[in-house]
This record gives sequence, C-alpha cells and structure tokens, in this order.
Amino acid sequence: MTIQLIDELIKVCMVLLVVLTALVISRRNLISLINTYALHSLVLSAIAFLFFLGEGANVFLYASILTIITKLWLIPALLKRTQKIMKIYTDLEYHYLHPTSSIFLSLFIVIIVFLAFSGIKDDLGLDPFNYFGVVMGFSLVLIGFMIIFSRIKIITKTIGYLVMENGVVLLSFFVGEMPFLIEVMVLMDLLALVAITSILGFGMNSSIEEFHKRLNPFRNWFKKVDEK
Amino acid sequence: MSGFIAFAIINVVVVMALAPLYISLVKKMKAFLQGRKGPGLLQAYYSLWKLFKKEVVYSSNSSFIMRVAPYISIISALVAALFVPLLFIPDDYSGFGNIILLLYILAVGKFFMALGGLDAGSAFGGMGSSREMSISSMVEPVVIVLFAAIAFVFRSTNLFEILREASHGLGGYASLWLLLIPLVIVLLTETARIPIDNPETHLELTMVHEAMILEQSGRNLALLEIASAIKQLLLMGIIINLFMPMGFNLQVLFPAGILIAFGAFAIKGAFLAASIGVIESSVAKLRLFRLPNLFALSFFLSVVTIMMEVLL
Amino acid sequence: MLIVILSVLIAVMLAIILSRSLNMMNYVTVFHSVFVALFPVYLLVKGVLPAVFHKSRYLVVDTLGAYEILITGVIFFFAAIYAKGYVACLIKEGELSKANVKLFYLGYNSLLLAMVLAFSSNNLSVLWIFAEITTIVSAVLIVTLNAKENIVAAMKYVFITSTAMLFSFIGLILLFAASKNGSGAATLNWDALLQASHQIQPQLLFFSFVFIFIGFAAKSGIVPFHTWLPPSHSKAASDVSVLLSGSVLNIGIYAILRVYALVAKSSMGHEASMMVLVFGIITVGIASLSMLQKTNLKKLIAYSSVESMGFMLIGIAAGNIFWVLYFVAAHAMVKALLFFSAGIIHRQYGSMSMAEIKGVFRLQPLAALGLIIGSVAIIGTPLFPMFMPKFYIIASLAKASLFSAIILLLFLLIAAGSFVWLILQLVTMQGAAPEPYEIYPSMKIPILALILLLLVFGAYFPLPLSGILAEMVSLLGLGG
Repeated sequence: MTIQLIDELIKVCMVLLVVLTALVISRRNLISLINTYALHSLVLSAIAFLFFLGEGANVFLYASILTIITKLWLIPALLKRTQKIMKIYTDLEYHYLHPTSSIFLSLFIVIIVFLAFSGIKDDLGLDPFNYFGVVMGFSLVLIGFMIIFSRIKIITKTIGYLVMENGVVLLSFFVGEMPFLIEVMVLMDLLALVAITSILGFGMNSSIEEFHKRLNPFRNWFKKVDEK
Repeated sequence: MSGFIAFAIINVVVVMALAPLYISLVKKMKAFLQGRKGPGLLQAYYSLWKLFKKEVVYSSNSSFIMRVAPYISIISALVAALFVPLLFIPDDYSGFGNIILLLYILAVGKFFMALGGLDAGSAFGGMGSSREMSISSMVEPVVIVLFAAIAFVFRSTNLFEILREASHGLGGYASLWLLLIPLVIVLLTETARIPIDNPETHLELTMVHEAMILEQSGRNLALLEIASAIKQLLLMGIIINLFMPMGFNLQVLFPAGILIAFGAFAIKGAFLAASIGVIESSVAKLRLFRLPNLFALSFFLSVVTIMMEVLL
Repeated sequence: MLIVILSVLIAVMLAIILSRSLNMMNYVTVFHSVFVALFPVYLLVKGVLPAVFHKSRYLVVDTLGAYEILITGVIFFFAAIYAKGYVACLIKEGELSKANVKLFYLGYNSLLLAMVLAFSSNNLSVLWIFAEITTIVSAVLIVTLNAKENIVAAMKYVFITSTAMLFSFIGLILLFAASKNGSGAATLNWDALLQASHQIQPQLLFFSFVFIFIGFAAKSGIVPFHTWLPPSHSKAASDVSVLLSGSVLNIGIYAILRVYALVAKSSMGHEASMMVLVFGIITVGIASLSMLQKTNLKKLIAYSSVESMGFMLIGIAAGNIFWVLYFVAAHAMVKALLFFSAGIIHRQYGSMSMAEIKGVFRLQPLAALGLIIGSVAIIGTPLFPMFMPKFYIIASLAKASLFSAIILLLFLLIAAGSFVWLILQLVTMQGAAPEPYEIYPSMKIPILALILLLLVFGAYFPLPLSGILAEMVSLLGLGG
C-alpha cells in the first residue's frame, strides 16, 4: 500500500475516533457505553496496524494485537460482568456537567490543546499530520478526565479512565514508538486496574462478606485448611 | 443560460415527482418493521390529489397570512429545489447554489408556516408554532456550522461546485465522513421525524409540526405537505450526492445520461428513505429537554471537522 | 544477582500461599523484609554500586535507590513484627476475617516487592509501572478490613492517583520524544538521560517535567491531589498505614527528585524549582491548616504526612538535597512510630477520636510515650532527627527567599500547634476508662526500637551516612 493511502486511512480512523468519543460523552446506557469503548479501542488498534504498514516497526503490530486482546475482549467482558452483578443499566447522575455541556466543554478542550501544543510542535519535530494526532490524543486524555469528574457511577468513571488511557496510547503512536516491553506492562497494569476497580465497585453495592468473597481467591482454600 | 433552464425544468420535475414517493416509502418501511402491511407506495399521491379537490376552510379570526402562507412555503421550496442539483450539474448556474442562501430560503418557508399556525388563533396552532420555533432556534446554529464545515472541506460555498468536487470521489476528504451524522440529525429535525418529533401523532402532548398545520385544510394543506416533502427530498439529495455520488453528473449524452442518473438517484433515495424508516423505528422519541444533547453532538462533530480541515 | 533475588521472592510468595498458620506467614514476611533491608546494606558495604541487573539497564540499583530500599526494608521489617500481634488483635475484634489474612500477607509481600523494584528502576517508565502497581496493591491492603468505608477510600486512592499517573505517562512519552530529537538516542533510562540532558531542548524538558510532576505529586499526596490520602491512610489498618505513610509516599518524591535532576541544570531549571517551591508551600499551608481542626488521631497523622511531603518539595526547590534525603529517612521512622502507637490506641479505645482518649498513661503507657515522642520529633524539636534537616532546609530557603521562609515557618508553627494540642490532650485527659487492653509484646517491640532509634539518630549523626548522602547528591548532579 502506498503511504498516501495509509495516511488517508489513518485519517478515516481518526474521524471514527472523534465520533466514538462524542458518543462516549453522551451515552447513558451502560452496555452501549461499554460497546462504544470496545469500538473505540478497535479503531485504535486499526491505527496501530496502519502505522505498522506505514513504518514497518513491529512494535505497532504487537501493540495492535495486544489492544484487540485486552481492550476489545478482556476489559469489556470484565466491565459487562460487573455491570450485570451491580444491576445498573443507565447512568443518569452527573456532577457539575450534563452531557450537553460536556460536549461543549470537550470542544473547548480540543481548541485549548491545539493552542497549547502549537508551542512545542517544532521541538517535537511534528509535521501537521502527526501534530493532529498528538492534539487528538491529548484531547482524548482530557475528555476522559472530564468524564471521570462529571460522572458518579463507578463503571462510567472507569470508562473515562480507559478513554484517557486510549488517548495516551494514541499520543504515543504519533510522537514515537515506545519500547515493546513497556507497552505490554502498561496494558497489564491497565488490566489489573480495571479488575480492582470493578471489584471495588462491586463492593460498594454489596455486603462486605460478598465483596471479600470476590476479592480473595484464596479464601475458600484457606477455610478448608482451617477446618481440619 | 439555456443549459440552466433545462437543468431547472428537469430538477424541479424530478423533485415534484419523487418527493411524495419517499414520504410513503418511509411510512411503508415503518409499517414493515412493525409487522403491518402499510399503505401503498402511491398513497401520498392519492392523498394529495384528494386534498386538492377539497374545499379550503378558513377560521373567521384568520387574516391574509393564513391565505398566503401555503403559497410562500411552496414557492420557497421550489426555489430551493433550484439550488440542489439531483441528477447533473449545468455548466453555468447563474448565481444559484449558494449554500447559505439555501438555508435562508428554507427558513423563510418555515417562518411563514409558523406564522400560519399562529394566525388562526387556535390553541393548537400557537402551541405547535412555538414548539417548532424553539426546536428551530436550537438547530439553526448547528445547521449553520454544519454548512460552514461542508464549505470548509471543499473550500467553496456553492453547492454546485461542492457536489461537482464530491462527484469525483471522496478520496481526499476523510474528514467529510464526520459530517454524515450531523447531516442525518438535521434531516430528521427538519422533516419533523423521530427522535425529534413524531409525524404520525395527533396527541396534544407530543405533536409539534402536525399541530402547526392543524388549521390548514384542502388545497392549502396539500401545498404545505408538498413543501415539506420537497424539503425532505432536497436534504436527502445533498446527503446522497455528497456521500454516494455514483451515477451523479454523468458526462453522457443528453437523454441516456439523465435517465441513468434518474434511475441511480431513485434507487439511492429509496435506500436512504428506507434507512430513515429504520432509524425512526429503532429509536424512541426524545424529551424536549434532551434535544440539546443531540444538537450539541452535531455541533461538536461539525466543529471538529473544521479543525481537522484547518490542521491537516 | 538478579536470579538470587528472584528466587528469594518466588520462594517467599510460594511460602505465603502454601503456609497454613498465621505465625508462619508472619515469619516469612519478617524474613522477606530482613532480606530486603540487608540487600542494600550488602551492596553499600561491598561497594558494588551501581549494580546493573540486566544489560538493557532497565533495573539498576544506584546509591539513591539502595538508600530508599534500605528505608523501605526497615519500615517493612518493623511493620511485619508489629503485624504479628496486630493481626491477631484484628481477628479477635472481628475487624479482619481469618480467611483474608492470607490475602493481607500476600499483598504485604507484593507491596514490598513492587517497592524494591520501583526503587531499582533506572528506566523511568518501568518506575512508572511499578509505582502504579504499588497503588493497586496498597488498595487491596486497605480493603482487607471488614469495613465499607475502606472500599470508598481505596477507590478514591486508586482513581485519583492512577488518573494523575496517566498525565505522568504523557510526560514520559514527551521526554522520550525529546531525547530522540535532542541527542538522537531515544531512551528513558535515567542515567543516559542525565548525561544527555544538556542536549535536550529545555522547553520540552520542562514541559515533560510538569506532566511527570502531576502524577508523582498525586502519588505523594501533594495539594491539590492530596484528597485521597487522609481517608485511605486513616481507614487502613495501622500497620498498613505505616507502610503507606512511611514508604509508599516516598516513591512520588523519589521520582520527582530524579526528573528534577534532569531539568534542574537546563535553562528552565529556575522555572522548575519555582514550580516545585510553590506546590510545596501550598501543600504545607493547606495541610497545616487542615490539621488544626482534626479530631481524629490517624487523620491528624495522615495530614502531617501531606505536610512533610510538601516540606520535602520545598527542600528540593531550595536545592538542599542532602538534608531532604535525610529527612526522608527521619520522616519514615517518625511516621512509623506514630502510626504504631495509634494502632494501640485504636485497640484500647475502639475509636480514633481524640476526645475519647482518656487516661492513656494508665492504660497504655507505651503508646502514650510513642505518641508524645513521635509528636515532639515530627515538629522538629532539637535532639530529634527531624530537627537538623528542617533547620538546614529552612536556612537555605531563607537564603534564596526570606519571605517564603517566613511563610513556611508560620505554617510549620501551625502544624506544631496541632501536635502540641494532641500532647496536651494526652497528658491532661483523665477519666474512668475500661480495663487496659492486653497488647501483644510483638506490638511493643517496634515502638521501643523506633523510640531508641530516634533518640540515637537525634543525638548522633553517623559519619558514613554523611558520605552516602553526599554521594547521592553528586549522583543526582545537584550539589552546590
């Protein structure tokens, strides 16, 4: 494939990313929110794959595959399970910001980031194309931050955090590839974090007994030993 | 000039011919999805014919506004039809095709429709007009930014030039795809469809557009219905020719090229109308206070498109 | 060497998982922390620093790392001894169910492991990852108790710090890109970055420093990211509070110090030190004002941790790294003493409210002594180890800016006021209290040992330590 075509496809992916981000901000139904996040990650892995085709660095290929495994399968499954246990279907509670004002605020964020990064654009050696990617990535980080602040439900907050993380990954694609080992460890860390927050979120809605049952994998095993 | 006159005649005839068809197609699709048989595809034509034969009744409180509003609406719709090429683009377009002007011509029609609703002095008409105008006031800024974004992408405010550029394929216009969602939202809003309004209801609590034209009757009602149908077709035409330009503006000899373009447009239009039916059946009507969210989404996407254009 | 360490760690984890009695798990934990504490001592004595673990230089223990590992090891060692009795108490009171003890000790040892790895990371992103892991493991440790408020506190902890840490990661990405553009060698290895720091574009370096600062400041509870700290430190079991306050908080300051060393010598160094100073003074100010109105003993101590972290930032900004590093060790010891004593108080009265602590000298003389000596030490009274660092840091701040030194003194006075209030409360409040709660000897040993250590280090400043501190300062390139 030619470089032009790849760049064009990356642009299309960025467009999809913007649409999905707007949906993440305004969705209320938790299931569709989680699905939107999965799609968001799919687009991200597509971008990584296109980068692999364009630049030939294997890191991008691995990142793409890992993204699919963790963010398209593991994390959404984990979140959906939590959501099922917690029996929450919609998130209608907001701090400070409602979806409409959130969308306007995120517009403002994009513009501010655009202006803020124009100062260091040349130091980082970014052409307009990569610059747009960096602006998008950092805007995603701030939009995720905004979601964390403006939502009350733990699952939505977690999604906000995950959107932030997607933004960081996008940023790293456009600035320069990180060593592979670090990408893997970051994803593992993310997985652990989502696991612990979903367990904690479960704990908030249930009795402490049930919570510890879920938290502690050694519990039953230990009991058996104890009873002897 | 003669080229443009030919274009004008063909375009207006196509618009008049196809506009009611798509109205009934949407209804048919909805009926299909609800498991009903639904009216025939020609039902809209029969209804209009029936209305044309009926007597017009005016309220004793109404003034001349009531009498001229339908005509102004239909005229503005027909003038707007000259702005949106459906089958081909003439070589000279004599000052037509400005995208901002199109917006205002459509707004004039809507304004008089709303005045007509107020004029009869009935409670329903006034309520409908006030609701329609409050939705309009929310959607209008979005439409302006949306059209500005389209103009930004193609570096032109003339719809003829924009569509000509688009007919060469959308290879270099990745950011344009962002505008599909706002365009569909605007289409649903301007044609008073779910989730913004419900075209089928006559319940006091829920109707918006229907309440506004409740006082109209006979020929006048038929004219207003046609005007709405034309407006829908024109917005559909913009979407079709921007995003699915296959068969549009063929450089083939006169009758054959036009016929192929007509056939292609009719099929694509049928597809879009069916999609509208699917959208209408799959979402619930939104509360009035949730509407700003939808419009903010369109606004966001339009502005991001402009930013992408500035940056890339 | 890596293999030796790894095998010990795996053995410890397996032993914990397989062990069948509380005492067994405790002994393994004690062994583990002794091992960790002796490891840097071995390196220091043998003089093989910096010890490189792998040729990628991701894990390198230099003098600073060894020093921090030593502090961590000592604190974990005391806490492990304390835990033997404390866990038994918790189980007796029904605050910790027996089934969760294994999870508790697993978390304890994983936290120790993550801390050691974090302090041996030469690569900044590896450091970032291990810092994140400490957050997750600490959260697990906080929620092992049977209390619902702990879940909320842990949630707050995880969310605030991880969110802020993402900003740090952006900073790391920018730093990586900057190193690629500046020196051509794209790396996040700290030693390589330090050597190439003069080639990196200063504005970009500062930009990434700001981002990295946000995350690690949150990890250390710097205002305005401190809101997670008081609830989680006060709700956690007391020996977990010791770990969190005495050692996990250090990671943040440690990372900030490392990155600050990169930016300090560049032309943006002045801006960086101004930023750190402002955050430090605001932190000390907010924390000391919040301490005034606290009636919960552990919350008071937690806020004092916030205040100390702010003070360390001020020390870094004032350029007095030597005493900042000493302060880190002194703070860890004093905080451990305070939380250990608070744990006993909690067992005695079943509450942390200061109004209910009556007749403490009759009921728990050792805890009272620990609290009083800890309070006296933490406000920087002469003849205790916190005095010298506080004195010298304020002196060097005054040299740079007299005004901010006066402001700082005012805030420190307020903070001291709340501790004096605490002492007065302890000494004067008498009343008919229940019978003395029986405290296990293993809970008394660490308190006695820490009191002894504080007295020794207050009176005597060992010369080899001075050499080690000076070596660390020159390692960071921040001397003079």
